[in-house]
Amino acid sequence: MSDVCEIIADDLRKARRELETYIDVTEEDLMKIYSLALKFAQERRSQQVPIADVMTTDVVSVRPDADIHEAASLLSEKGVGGLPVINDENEVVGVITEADVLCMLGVERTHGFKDLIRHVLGESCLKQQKEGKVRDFMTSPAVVVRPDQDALEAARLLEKKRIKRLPVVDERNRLVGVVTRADIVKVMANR
Amino acid sequence: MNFQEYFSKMRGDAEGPPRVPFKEVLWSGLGALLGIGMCGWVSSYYLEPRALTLMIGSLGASAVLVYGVVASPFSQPRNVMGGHVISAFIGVVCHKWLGLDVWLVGTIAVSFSVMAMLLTRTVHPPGGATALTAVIGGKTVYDLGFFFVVVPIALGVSILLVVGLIVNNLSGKRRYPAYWF
Repeated sequence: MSDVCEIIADDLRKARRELETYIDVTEEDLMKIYSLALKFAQERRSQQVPIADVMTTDVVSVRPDADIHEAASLLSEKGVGGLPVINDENEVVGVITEADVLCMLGVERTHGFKDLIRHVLGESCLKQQKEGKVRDFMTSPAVVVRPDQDALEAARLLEKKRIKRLPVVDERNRLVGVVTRADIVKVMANR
Repeated sequence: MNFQEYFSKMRGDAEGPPRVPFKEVLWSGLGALLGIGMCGWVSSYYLEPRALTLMIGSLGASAVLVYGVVASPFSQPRNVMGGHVISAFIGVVCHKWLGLDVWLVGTIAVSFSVMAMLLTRTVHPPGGATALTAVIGGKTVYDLGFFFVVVPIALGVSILLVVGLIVNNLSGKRRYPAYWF
């Protein structure tokens, strides 16, 4: 691990003095614990795969002011389930998915708790209308990840949020790629 | 492992821990003063008239850990209460059911209490003294039977822990406990 340097016994002594309390562990044990922890951290890091290595960089996106039918055509043509919505600065402002388009057409989403409540209240879809812009139907803000995060973190997020793809953004929230469940499965299969 | 390796283990060439600042020494002293003082006061005014006491050696040993080595796993409530209670129980059981010489019963009680504390993750060194006290404590202790686990042990430990919670957290550098259970 390049950014972690080795420590020597003198560092441990200084650290113990700094704590200003009696710690009942010997210097030898403390060094053993530190060395083992460092080894485990190195092993963990060596197994990590950054999202940048697995994401798709050739991303199709839409603008928030695009017509919803244009987004539907793109989804259909490209055979993807969702598109990142970006503004003029290439910043991700939301995500538009097949489910959002179906919702526009009045097809109920019955898999979520909110949808169940809507169903009980007799409200099939809050966004139900036949025309409109992408911004009227998109999910915003979007759940995003950074390219330097571990692919496993992205997998956990996909599972937790029950979504299939995540826009990958840089430190200024600009779109740099998309990572999907399939991308992560591919990495795990090749490991 | 050959002879040379075996004896080389006894060299003990590592450096001992540094002395703690004087402020820390004073906080430890104050904690012990109040903790054992509280046990002594309760003991002398309420328990001794009833042929009971809280002033036993193993609680003094616990005071060293609870007030002097606050961050140690040995000093955490789980260990202090668990270690003493389990060892006291083992000590009483050994005394009652092992018909052997006192020194042998005491030896077995301490040995079992060490193993029990390790198995239950409640290692608290003064627990060994508690087990031994249950065996060699004489008539006053024998008359208590299993009540020895409650008074002086559980009650004395509770007082030490309450005082520890109050006093240890008065210091800006200390935090007690690190964990409860």
